[in-house]
Amino acid sequence: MKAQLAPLDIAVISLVLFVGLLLLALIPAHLVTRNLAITTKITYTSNEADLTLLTLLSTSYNGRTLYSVFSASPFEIKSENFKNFFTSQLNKTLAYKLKCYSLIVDKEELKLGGCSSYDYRAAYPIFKPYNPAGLIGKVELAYQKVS
Amino acid sequence: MHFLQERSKGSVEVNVIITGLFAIGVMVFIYYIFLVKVVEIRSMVDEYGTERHAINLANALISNRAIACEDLGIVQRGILDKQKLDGVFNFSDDSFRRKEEVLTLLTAWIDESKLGNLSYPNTLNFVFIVDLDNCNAKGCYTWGGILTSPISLGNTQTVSFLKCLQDTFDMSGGAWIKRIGACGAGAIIGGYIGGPIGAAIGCAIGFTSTLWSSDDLQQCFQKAGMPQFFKEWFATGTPISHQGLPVLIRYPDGSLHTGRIIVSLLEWY
Repeated sequence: MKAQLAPLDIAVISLVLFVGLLLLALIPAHLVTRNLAITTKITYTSNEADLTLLTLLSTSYNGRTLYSVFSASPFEIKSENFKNFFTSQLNKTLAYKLKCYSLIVDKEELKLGGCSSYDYRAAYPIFKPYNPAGLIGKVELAYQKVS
Repeated sequence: MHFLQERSKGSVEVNVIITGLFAIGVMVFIYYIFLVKVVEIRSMVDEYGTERHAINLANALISNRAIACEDLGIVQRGILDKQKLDGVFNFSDDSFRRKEEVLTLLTAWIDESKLGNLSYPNTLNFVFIVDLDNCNAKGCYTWGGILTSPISLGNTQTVSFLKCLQDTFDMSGGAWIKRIGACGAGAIIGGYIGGPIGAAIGCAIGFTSTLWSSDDLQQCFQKAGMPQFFKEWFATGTPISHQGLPVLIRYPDGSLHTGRIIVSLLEWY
């Protein structure tokens, strides 16, 4: 006996095919916009982190710029005074509430909060005139804002 | 599972017809969602382009000799000169609040020559620089302005849309009677609710809503596409670039103030 499809079966199959085809068209478009969103976010976060670090390096601390502090006496970043100053300065620079940060100058690290990952990251080379191990050091800043 | 049961030739049960109509309804609904999604995606692609332009323009501005500090001829990126800002920006306020005073800003056009033609074409380039170390209870000291840019309205989508609206505008006597009737009906309802002012508003609503028929509008949307302004209005949230980028502002006494530069673009295609 020849098998026959009922109209409802045809409707259901058509619906499934229709939805499937629309999804096939939508998924690549969705991936493109997702990719664009991530690229834009990375462009912004890297720009902001870069300028935040650049701004902070020119900020004055006890009559010296932070650049010269990092350059000549990086161990100072471990002091409680410096931590308070840096946290308040970073908070003000960002204009949005800070969740956590990590500042690394060569082997010295200053941390606030316990974030497992950071969206905002920046690094700059610094000149270290009194360092017998090498004249070029690195300062790295990573932070996360409250979303 | 067969719902189609032929009792006699040519007769179909009601539940089968209802099921068929339901299936068609579901398909139409899914297609509608698909169209909305397509418009949203297209709008997001445009919006992210505008976002990138805003970030790029902010970066170009903070390295521009017209407003950035210079040391032995070398531009200090991200460090802006207070005196240069005063010279370039027509608008400054010691307690600027963007939302309330944005209309004031519309008069603060910055001449192209002052910033070396730095702007995107067919765009309103809003620029704000906020001094975060110079604040009072109302707000912070802010410089602001709109950079002028070359504008061409030739073949943009918005112009095509407006042209289509112009072409489909019905000037016949019947159309005007319909509009005047809608104005009168709106005035009666508005007057009943809110007196003379309500009547005026009701008349305006009635008149405006009958300027174009829904068929004409639909035709223009299909022919010229939805203008960028409408699409962004429907599909976008707060852009990330509106958070601004950090800068320093150097005052004549040598002190450095912490600030932010915020660039906001309104582009049309």
